[in-house]
Amino acid sequence: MSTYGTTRHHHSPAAQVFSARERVTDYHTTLFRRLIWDGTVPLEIRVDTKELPANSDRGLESYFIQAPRASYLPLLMPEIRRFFTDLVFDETSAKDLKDDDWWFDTPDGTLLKWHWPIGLIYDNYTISTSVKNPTFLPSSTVSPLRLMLHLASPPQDKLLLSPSVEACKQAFMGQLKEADFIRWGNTKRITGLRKQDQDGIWEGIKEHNFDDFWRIASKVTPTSAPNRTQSPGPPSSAASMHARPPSAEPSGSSDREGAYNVRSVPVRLYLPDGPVIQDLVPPLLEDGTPHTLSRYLSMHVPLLFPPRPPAPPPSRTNPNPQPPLVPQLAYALIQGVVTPLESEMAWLGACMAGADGWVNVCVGINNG
Amino acid sequence: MKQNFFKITSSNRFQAVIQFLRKELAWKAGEPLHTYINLAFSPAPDDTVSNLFKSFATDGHLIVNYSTTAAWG
Repeated sequence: MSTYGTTRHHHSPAAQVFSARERVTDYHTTLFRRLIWDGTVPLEIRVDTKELPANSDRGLESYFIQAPRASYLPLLMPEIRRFFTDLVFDETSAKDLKDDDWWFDTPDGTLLKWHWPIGLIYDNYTISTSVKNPTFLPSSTVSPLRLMLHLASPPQDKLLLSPSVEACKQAFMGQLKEADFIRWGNTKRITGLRKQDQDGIWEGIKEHNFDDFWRIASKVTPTSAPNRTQSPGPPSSAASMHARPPSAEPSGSSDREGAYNVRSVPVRLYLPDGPVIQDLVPPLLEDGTPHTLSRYLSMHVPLLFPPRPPAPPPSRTNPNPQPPLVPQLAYALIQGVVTPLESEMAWLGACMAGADGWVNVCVGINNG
Repeated sequence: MKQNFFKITSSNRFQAVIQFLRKELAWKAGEPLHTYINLAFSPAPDDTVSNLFKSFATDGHLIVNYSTTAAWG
């Protein structure tokens, strides 16, 4: 029935995509969006034993949940609260607990932010483990992220936002608009959505409904434009990123909203336990070639991703010289996937971004 | 405000800008104060000023707008 297939039928996105009546997002884009959307991470939640109220059932102290990457901690709270109040706390102490005061950290003391997507929290845990544990490999490990639930005294100044669903929605909409601004230099696509759609996009996250979410999100997310070869040659399309006003764009151009025509791709780079780097990431380089993940990483973190030196000149003994190999010191994790470095930034923006429109590149360290 | 231009160390989080604005305006703790970049969106409070400046500066300034009610969609 719908463009994107239904959320209940997890295993056959392909068949339903092609049954759509109207313009459809191309098959591969939808496939990747679907895979990202269906991505989940395992969480183990336990209450700090020192904080467990008297008379709690200590035999049931952990709660395990497989949470959607695209979701947020405030959205999981009702389920977590139900478990602990029904099964762990006794009635009297449950009444005294205010879940406005609840907050999470990890066993090593990292605070969990309410407004970060759960997938991003998990990937940050993965890369920070890659530094602390030399035998750690991202692909071989699906251990749950252990979260410690605290029942009182939230460190408000570090959590930054209140744990309410409303605050989470506002933060999400803010990120969506910031991503829109990065892409096009304004937020007209988001502000141009009807109120009903603006609320609907968040409902799609809340209910974890792929159709509801992407029906609206596809209006504001660029397509991955497989027909990019039909656009003008590389130099002119590179120039068009900067100067061409919207009114001068050819109407009906099929890739006007395409990922390779944005000013910049919304990307954030996360280092283990470190700062977050955000910069303008044009989809094409000055010579008109696509901006790749490899180029992006060697520009921002050259010590971890050394640029590959050019091949030596051909000689009689070696007519086809290969560029020397550089050691692979680090890897890039996007949506939990170790991502090939030749991936194009524009494609990542269209296919591997989070629900808020941002591509979160987490850098882990290879131990070797 | 008497002054419109301020300098801030770029490694600060945007949260520091919000706190500074609240102090400068003598804003009460519980009262909502909405902050925007370029009349367009509210950044996350943990974005650094440096990141925001790199992406959104206009003529060497990062333009921050504030409002007592939610604005701009």
